[in-house]
Amino acid sequence: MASHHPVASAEIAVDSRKLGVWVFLASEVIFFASLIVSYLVLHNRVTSGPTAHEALTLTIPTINTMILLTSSVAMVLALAHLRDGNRRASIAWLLTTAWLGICFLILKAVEYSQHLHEGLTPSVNVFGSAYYTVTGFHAAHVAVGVIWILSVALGLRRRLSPQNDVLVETVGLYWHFVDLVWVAIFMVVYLLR
Amino acid sequence: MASSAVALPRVYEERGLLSWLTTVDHKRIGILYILGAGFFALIGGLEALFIRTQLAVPNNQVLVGEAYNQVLTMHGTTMVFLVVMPVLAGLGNYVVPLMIGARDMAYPRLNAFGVWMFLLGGLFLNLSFLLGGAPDAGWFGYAPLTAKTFSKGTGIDFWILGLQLLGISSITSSINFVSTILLLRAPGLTLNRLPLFAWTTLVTAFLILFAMPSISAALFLLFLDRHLGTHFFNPAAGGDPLLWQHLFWFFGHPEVYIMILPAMGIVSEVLPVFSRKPLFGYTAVAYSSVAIGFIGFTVWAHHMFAVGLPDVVNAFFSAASMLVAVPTAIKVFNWIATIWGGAVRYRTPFLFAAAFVALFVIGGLSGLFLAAVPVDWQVTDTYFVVAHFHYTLFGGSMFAIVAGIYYWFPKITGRFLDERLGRLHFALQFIGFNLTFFPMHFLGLMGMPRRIYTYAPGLGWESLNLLATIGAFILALGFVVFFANIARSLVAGERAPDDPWDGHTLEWLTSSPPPPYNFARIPVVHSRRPAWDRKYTGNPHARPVAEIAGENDRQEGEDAPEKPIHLPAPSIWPLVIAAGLTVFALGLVTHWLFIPIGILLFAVGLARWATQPLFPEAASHS
Repeated sequence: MASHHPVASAEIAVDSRKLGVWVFLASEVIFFASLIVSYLVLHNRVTSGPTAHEALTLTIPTINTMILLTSSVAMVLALAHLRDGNRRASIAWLLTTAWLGICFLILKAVEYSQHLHEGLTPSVNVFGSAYYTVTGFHAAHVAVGVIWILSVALGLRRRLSPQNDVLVETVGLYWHFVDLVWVAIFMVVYLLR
Repeated sequence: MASSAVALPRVYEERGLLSWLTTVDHKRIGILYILGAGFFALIGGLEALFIRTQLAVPNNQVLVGEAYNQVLTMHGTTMVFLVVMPVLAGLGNYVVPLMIGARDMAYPRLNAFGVWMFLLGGLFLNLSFLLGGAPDAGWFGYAPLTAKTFSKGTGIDFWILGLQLLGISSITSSINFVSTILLLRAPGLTLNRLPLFAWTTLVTAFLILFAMPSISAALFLLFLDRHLGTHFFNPAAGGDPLLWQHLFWFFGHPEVYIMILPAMGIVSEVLPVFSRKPLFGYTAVAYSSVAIGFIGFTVWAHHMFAVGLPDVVNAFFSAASMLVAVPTAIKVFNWIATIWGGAVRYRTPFLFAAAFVALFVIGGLSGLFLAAVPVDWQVTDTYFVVAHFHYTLFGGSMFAIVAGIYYWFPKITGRFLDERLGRLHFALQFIGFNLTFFPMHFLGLMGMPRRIYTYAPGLGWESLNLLATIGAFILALGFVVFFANIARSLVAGERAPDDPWDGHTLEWLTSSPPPPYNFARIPVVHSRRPAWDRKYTGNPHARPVAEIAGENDRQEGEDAPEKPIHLPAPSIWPLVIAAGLTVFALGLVTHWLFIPIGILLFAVGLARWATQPLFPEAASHS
């Protein structure tokens, strides 16, 4: 495939797809900021039912933080191997990243089921509403990331090459962003509980 | 231009319905945006006429209660999301790539997706009229009125999901504008030479990117409140209706700059061309756009002065709001200085652009009144506010949009809009507009609240309301003349040359209408007025000398052999994905069976899009 678009202007030389993902992620920052601010405003106004301090434990989210941070390392290695011309290693690391993402989602589901068992539901109080919404939207982003990584690693694998690493780099940008959002959520929701 | 050396590309089929459904050409997409906005303008305009008819006399019975609320809500929502924003996106789509010497937008298929998402999202929103009633809580959708307890029908759900679909459209088109304007400029076209319409489109794209997610999040929270029993905006359970207002206006105020900045860009293109002068204070006008964009994110709570925020918060937002006047006034003075001493040609685009300056100043001044907290307390939720924002959005944005359509119509169609009908249109629109909205200042000061569907006689509001209604019908007549002019000129309008106005910018260097690849050779830019460089020589500060510039102006780079031109291949998948999202949204409101169909369309469309090469010719070469 020929280069996506010739860069006509000398001032800014960056692949247009990469810039597009950066700009999209900038927009996503405001989306998650809106959700996190809503959480901060509301989570202490519980009138009945469990509060953040009562309902949340640190075990699963801490493991999940480790998992996501490790997955970012795997993503970096996937890109590095592709640039070195080692496509098979790159795909293996991409699959590792996706697998870690799936592990995160499974643990998140376990955590949710524990909450539900203990009576914390989205409708029990404002803390429940805000908690499930913030973490749910993040989990949905992780799920989208897993699907995206799998379609690059499996569906588009023949297109991957050291010259055409932008497919991995763009999904990598998204994945690292979703990681960073988790770090923010981990601090705001779990550590500050 | 010496184009003989360039191998012209294979042009894809340009006739038939399928060619429109699969087009990825920024010019055709721009036309689709403009036509769609025109269609929704008819609906939104009719809604306005219903409102004004109901309010013409006291105790009128034309449109009462909930029906009035529905029409009022849909008028506002339609004009903001389905008329002003898309018509500006349409003009931007058509004109900006030409202005910057690009062959297309950075992501042609994403561009097609954006226009289909707009058209389908608009239809989805209006479908609510047929499926159980339109939204009726105002375009701002204040909680908790929008909660399930108070709005039981599906109208609010159509509104929530419709705005989400339109938001997706806006976000994708903004990503596209940013990448296009930053990456695809012609050689030599530095940001310091970028035409003002491209500048304001760029700033607007950033405003959309940073404002839209806030309302998107708020709409999700509201949807969850309505259907999952969450309590975000439910005060009884610790929720906070003010949270909705903050999230909404953090979007809502930048939104008004989203609607005005590209309009200012159009005026900054039209006034210099028809004054036959360079724009006065180019740098100041460009940077003041950026300043308005920045300050625009710090003023949202001036929509909330009456909700009881602490005084110090009100004072901050009051001061920040007044600060907007500085960059705005810089622009106004520069426009006036541009016209000053120019050889002005009073053609229709100039009339509308000049009227924009005058009317927008009136809207800006009443905005300064509203930025003062005590004045706002006095007139909040009265017709004074209605007068203010119609002076900025109609007297401002809409007058500039019409100026832009008269200005670029010859480029888009190869024909002029009729000048005599244009003057008639201008007279009707100018008189009708001021007759409709100027009396509303007085009505507001006399205490007439907005959003009410009727009023009692004897309050002193009768004659001004009747006057406003008469004005509204004159205004409507103006738009009838406008649409008639467009229809007539498309068929029998005077043929326009490539450069009918003696323009400054690159779009006038190619044919009218332009070929699918825009330019056989990408022009090299040496100044802020590259088209004049080709036409005139002489001291740039003196009157232009009408003498064709020599070969010396076509310099290095331009004679270098160009790479072969490849046009992006048409694709149906953007439309399929947009349809999938719309069907999915329909499933959420009506029957669940639509949900899997929508997901299937979306998934298939996305998979086919990802595997279909954008440039099949280039792919087969390599």
